[in-house]
Amino acid sequence: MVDPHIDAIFNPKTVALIGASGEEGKMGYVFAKNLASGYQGKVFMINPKGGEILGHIAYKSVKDVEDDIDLAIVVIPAKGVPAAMKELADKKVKAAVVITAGFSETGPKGKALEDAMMVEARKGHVKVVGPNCFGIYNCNIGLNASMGIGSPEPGGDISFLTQSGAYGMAIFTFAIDHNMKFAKIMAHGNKAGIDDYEVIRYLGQDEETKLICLFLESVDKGREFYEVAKEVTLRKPIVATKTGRTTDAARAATFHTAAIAGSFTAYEAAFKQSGIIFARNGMDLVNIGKGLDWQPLPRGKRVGIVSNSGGTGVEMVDLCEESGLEVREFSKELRAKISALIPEYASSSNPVDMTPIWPKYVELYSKITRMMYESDEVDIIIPIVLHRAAMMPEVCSALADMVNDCLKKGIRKPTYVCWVSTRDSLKNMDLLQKKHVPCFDWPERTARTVGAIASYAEFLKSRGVSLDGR
Amino acid sequence: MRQKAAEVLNKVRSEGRTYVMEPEAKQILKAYGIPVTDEAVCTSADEAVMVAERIGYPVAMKVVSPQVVHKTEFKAVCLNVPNEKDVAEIYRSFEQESMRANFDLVGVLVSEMVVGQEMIIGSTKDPQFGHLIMLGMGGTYVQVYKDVSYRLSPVSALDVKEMLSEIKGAKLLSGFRGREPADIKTLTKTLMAISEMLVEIDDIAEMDLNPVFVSSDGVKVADARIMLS
Repeated sequence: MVDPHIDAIFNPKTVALIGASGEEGKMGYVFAKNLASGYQGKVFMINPKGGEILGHIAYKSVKDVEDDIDLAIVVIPAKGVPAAMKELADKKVKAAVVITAGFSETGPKGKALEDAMMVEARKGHVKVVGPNCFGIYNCNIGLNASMGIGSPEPGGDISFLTQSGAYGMAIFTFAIDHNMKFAKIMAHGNKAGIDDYEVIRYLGQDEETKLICLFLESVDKGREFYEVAKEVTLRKPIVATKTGRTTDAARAATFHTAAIAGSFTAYEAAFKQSGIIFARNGMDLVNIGKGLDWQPLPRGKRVGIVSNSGGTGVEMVDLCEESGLEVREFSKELRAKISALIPEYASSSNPVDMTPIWPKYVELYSKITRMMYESDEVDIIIPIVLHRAAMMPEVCSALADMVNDCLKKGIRKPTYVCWVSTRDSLKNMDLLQKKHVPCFDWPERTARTVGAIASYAEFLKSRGVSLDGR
Repeated sequence: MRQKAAEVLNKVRSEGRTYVMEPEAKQILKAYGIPVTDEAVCTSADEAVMVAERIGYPVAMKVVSPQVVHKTEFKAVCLNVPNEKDVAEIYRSFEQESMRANFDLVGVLVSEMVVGQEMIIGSTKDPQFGHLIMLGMGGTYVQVYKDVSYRLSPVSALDVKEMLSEIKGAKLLSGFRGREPADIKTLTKTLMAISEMLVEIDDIAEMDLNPVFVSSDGVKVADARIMLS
């Protein structure tokens, strides 16, 4: 069974906004506007002045609301939050997202205020997200209880837990720019009343979530985090970025083992052992998430590369090998088939270098990709779409259609495009990505992303998990 | 907790120490089935010779003292001691060193010399994640090469396999240049036994087993240091 308090955060039937405002430029207005647009549940605006806010009656207190309240969003100044929390507890509100800053992140005074708030919350069993956080989303029910602008599209299956508000949202909007769709998002800020592992366990059980992304600055309850993650990764992937890796925890080490271990060593071990895919930075998090969300998992590590640039192809080979992937020469038979399509001076080995024969790109990208789908020598397909190829929308469309056609035929093999082109050709990238063929900028990012995904598939296989249907 | 291990720990605690001396650490390890060198603590030159004769030459001789945590900082270790005469002489030199450097000489540890690949097995404790186990290439240069791999304790056999795949020098274990392949199965069992020990003895703050000799004959811990919290 899912945790009912966390479910109240993501699937509330009723939401109260504590500190709602009709005055533009105020935080209470941003939240009022977001809650009033798209969310299908009932919204109660709370403001001691009463009146009307964006067409809703404003209640002077939650006490005046007759309905039960599942979720409260708190945006009032910090000093009033403990008293407000007591009212929420008395009202038997299930959960509260405290957006307000000025708590433990500011020092001992703020910490005391946070503790006072938590005393009230715990007494009344109110699950607290935050304080000092960006808010939450459930895209599939139109709920935007965050500082973010507008309501994101429904139908996504990626859920995202972030400790950093602004960077988390930058990652989120970058992902949306790349045609990705989300299910649930939570920025949990100071994490006063909620632990990472509770959210991960919830998302692990959540049917609308197929992939979990984490942006972490620290993990509390590391053991529980590890145990929960270890169980969840067998069913759905978890990708995590962890910042603050290089600041070494002050420690008085006596022996070698402790002296060599840095502050990130335990995280690294926990990630490896639990199957969490480590993303080195926010952009890698998006890229790995995209590759996992849109394409089947690779069955092995053998990469087939088709390129319109020999130089880029060779760089890709180097970087793939460095990322733990294999780029083997194709068999005589496969080479003969490819050679029949390309000029005599072009290379049919791996990487396939088509050379600059752009009038034939439309045909060649998709035909050679199909050959790699049909070949048992390739587990992963990387087409390098560079300059002139990327500028031709018909090349991108034909390639996207070919990938989807092969996947529809039941060939579980991923294609990841390495995109190297000009800014004006970016709209052509959409032709691929709207059809869920992921594109990554330049060979380095492509190789690193694919390497991380292939290691996860390897992790599952070595633990006896079947990749059928994944 | 294993009874023998509990007895040793009680003694260390009752003496107000957090540093567990080598012979004590080895008794704890032994209680968990972790193979250690054949050895005895001797309190006279005659006894040292007797033990050396039983074990067979050459032997290793080490100072046992609660104040000597880093043995290489003192004249506190002699390896490959070949005969009776040298054993007696070294015993006396340790006595002199204890007077010079002003540490309590509890005794002298006389141990068998072991051959094999030098590895290190260690543990440290993270405030969030608890005990971590380290496996790597051992010896004096551990901190220079840092050819090691960490996992959270307890480790499974699969974890050990994956740790070995991360250690460059581990290729030396698989029969490199005509050497006989090392006993990976026993090494795996050893790491799993250490995991069990760390689960049961939660207050081990730091541990270094270095070197641990790994060969086709199995695994032997030649030196062991434990610090309690």
